[in-house]
Amino acid sequence: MDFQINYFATALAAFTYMGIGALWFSKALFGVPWAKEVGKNISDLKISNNKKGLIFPAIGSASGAYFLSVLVKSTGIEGVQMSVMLGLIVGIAFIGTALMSNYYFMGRTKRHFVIDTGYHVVAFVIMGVIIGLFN
Amino acid sequence: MHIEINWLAVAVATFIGTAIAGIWYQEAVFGKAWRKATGVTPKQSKQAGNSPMGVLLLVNFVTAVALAILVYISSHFFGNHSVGFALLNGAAAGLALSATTLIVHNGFELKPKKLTFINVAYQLAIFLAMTLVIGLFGV
Repeated sequence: MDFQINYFATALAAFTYMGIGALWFSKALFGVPWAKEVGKNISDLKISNNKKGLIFPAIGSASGAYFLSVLVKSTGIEGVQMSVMLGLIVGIAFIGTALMSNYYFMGRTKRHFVIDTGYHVVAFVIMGVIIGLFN
Repeated sequence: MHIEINWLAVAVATFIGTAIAGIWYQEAVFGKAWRKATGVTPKQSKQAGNSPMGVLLLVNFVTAVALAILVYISSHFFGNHSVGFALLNGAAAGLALSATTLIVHNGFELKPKKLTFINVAYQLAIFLAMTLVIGLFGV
């Protein structure tokens, strides 16, 4: 099991994943419709009210970025285009599906699903760009 | 690169994943706690009809195909074709991608921890069951 991934690219991808999340769920983008779907006031859902909660996005982003880096390495693919494709597949097949089955049974709206899944798929595509560029 | 998918394994994995969902969310298992945490009533579920099951089947099929591809790629890259290694792939994908995503979303939505536990454990259970099937069929 000897392989070398680019840790700088992986870390950069992980931070980008989190950063996109902060933007995505901000008022400027989808924060307002998202809060409406959750059924809570957006001010109650602010990150500053939930500092401890940031540990999970950090773990999630880091493990997602690491997973994609190892996958890009182990498939032996080259080029940004291919790693973007891989990011897209991982985002849809593992994250999109997990959210879809759980959300659907909970009777959540399509809009809620699209906002949440859209974030991860977009983030995985951009991580694919970053990891592909450094590969 | 060339990827071989065992479609019979994928079909069995899809079926088993869906069966686990059926058992997991039974009233006698976690269904009762899930209804309490989500506020979904049996009546609402009945109104939704069969379409959530259709969605579940489709979603589990996509997951099974992706896991089959993942196990194929990594078992060839690492030169390890054992069932245990297939399971390790399922655990890694389930923990690194699905579990963290559900924990993050439920966390920011201030959902009860119990709901997160039920969702995450279910997701891990189907990832492990599916990779077990894929591993047993051989890669």
